[in-house]
Amino acid sequence: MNSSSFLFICFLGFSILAFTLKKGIPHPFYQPKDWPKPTYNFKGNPLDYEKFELGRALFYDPILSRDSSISCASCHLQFTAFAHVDHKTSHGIEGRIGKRNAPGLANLAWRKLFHWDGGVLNLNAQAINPITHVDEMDMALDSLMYRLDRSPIYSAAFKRTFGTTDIRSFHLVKALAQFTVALISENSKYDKVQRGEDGLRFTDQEKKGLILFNNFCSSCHKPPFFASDDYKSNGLPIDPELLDFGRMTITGNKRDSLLFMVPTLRNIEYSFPYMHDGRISKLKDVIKHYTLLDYSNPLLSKELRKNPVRLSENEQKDLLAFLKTLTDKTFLFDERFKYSTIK
Amino acid sequence: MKVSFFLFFLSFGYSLNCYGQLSIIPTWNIKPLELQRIYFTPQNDSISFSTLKIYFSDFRFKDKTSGRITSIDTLIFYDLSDSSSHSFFNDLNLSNYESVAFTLGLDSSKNVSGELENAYDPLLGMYWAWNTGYINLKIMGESSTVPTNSHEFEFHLGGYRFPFATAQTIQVNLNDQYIYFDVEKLFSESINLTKNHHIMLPCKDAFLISQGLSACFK
Repeated sequence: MNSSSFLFICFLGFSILAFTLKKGIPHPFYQPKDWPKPTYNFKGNPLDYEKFELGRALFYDPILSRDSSISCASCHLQFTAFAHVDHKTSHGIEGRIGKRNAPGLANLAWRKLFHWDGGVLNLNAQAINPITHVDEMDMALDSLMYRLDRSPIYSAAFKRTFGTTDIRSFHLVKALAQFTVALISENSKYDKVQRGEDGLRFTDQEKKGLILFNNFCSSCHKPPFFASDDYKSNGLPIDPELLDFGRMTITGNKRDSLLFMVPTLRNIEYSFPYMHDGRISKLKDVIKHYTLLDYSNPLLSKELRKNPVRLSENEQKDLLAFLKTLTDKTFLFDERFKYSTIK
Repeated sequence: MKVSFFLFFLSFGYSLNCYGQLSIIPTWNIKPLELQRIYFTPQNDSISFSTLKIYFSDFRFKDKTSGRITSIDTLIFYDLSDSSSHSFFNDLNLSNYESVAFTLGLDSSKNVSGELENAYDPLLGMYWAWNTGYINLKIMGESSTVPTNSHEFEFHLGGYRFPFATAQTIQVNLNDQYIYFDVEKLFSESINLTKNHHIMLPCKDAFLISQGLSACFK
């Protein structure tokens, strides 16, 4: 055997080995113990590690925006719970500003409705919104398919993962969903205390905060997701410039005016600013907002009207301490969710 | 006259070969509608069309002799600009059936299926990203009746939620392989372009116009 044949055989062997190892890597999605079944339709998009890696690369790639300047990660940064830290509302191409705060992304496989107004009914379809929205990526889907098709890296990746040279929008959104369903946050101090892991216990202040949380917050921010698929009014008046009427925009029903998604409180410590338009920058001020509400307002959610949040200064601090136990640093710094490109 | 010949030949063709595809033919003044061609309304206003796209689903064919219903629950996308979308159901022997009922549009389960493939592809321009759901019928163009500088009209008729569920059940007798959609009737009886020339979301007007669609098919 000459040296070039030897090198070729070595290369082939390593390629097969690398391919086999990659094939063997499990998709990061898993079913946490005692959690309900996910709502995401995995039959329509079976878990596949290579598709996850493709979705991850697309999530971080500005190729999705019209001028190739904005990626999904521009407004959803991992270390701030996949929210847009310190930005009231989302930023788009050419410095355009959206109407709503980019919410954190976690445990999406269990959500039934998406966006602050619940206008999107499944995770696959969700990605089309920011890609095509004029104030976000402003990218026409047909142009994007053409661009991906012309990219040697992506055309090869879609061929490898979906077995197609005709990249369609459903391939794109399924790849992205392979990544976003994997964003599971369930390793906060709260979770570990509940599971009795690592000998962790709540401090006295956190315990008091938990009791307050159960009394005043959990009817809407329901564990284990600390969120719900309900749409509620938390008493915020309309912003006269944004004129965002929330859920009413979708249903056309006046009774849904100023109702917004109940967002997750997981990693809330890091996902500031808060509320649907990011108008409150500090978590302690969010708690204060509830203590100062006009509870005679008939538009408030029934949960708030029935059970007004009356908290002393110390109780507010206790609740804040508990909310910080929902921070999941394993999730925020998980290597599998960091910036990546197609290899 | 030209179109009468056209329609005659279509019917003649059918009588020779009863195994034809089911075809949708939009018409204006009993002539097949053409995009970008200028027509005139009964009020002598000009009108032309740039887009006509329609979803059809849930077909139920009634057998001539047994009365048995054959159901085909598939989603059909029709685009006047794409002749390959004008005919479908190649393998059906249409001469066996006396009538067909179908849905113009998509029911709620199809709207929320999240499928996004084939006829559901958002690239077809019928998908509402901001409010999950599909447009049932998209018709756009220009008319001197429209009291704006551009004279453009755009009707994106869709929505599946109460009280503005817009999908319509339509039944036609199968005298031949063609289903005719009288666009002129829609614009003379259900759409008033002086008052309403843009519908882009599920709403009461979309609901009311959609209710007039059934009478436009034969």
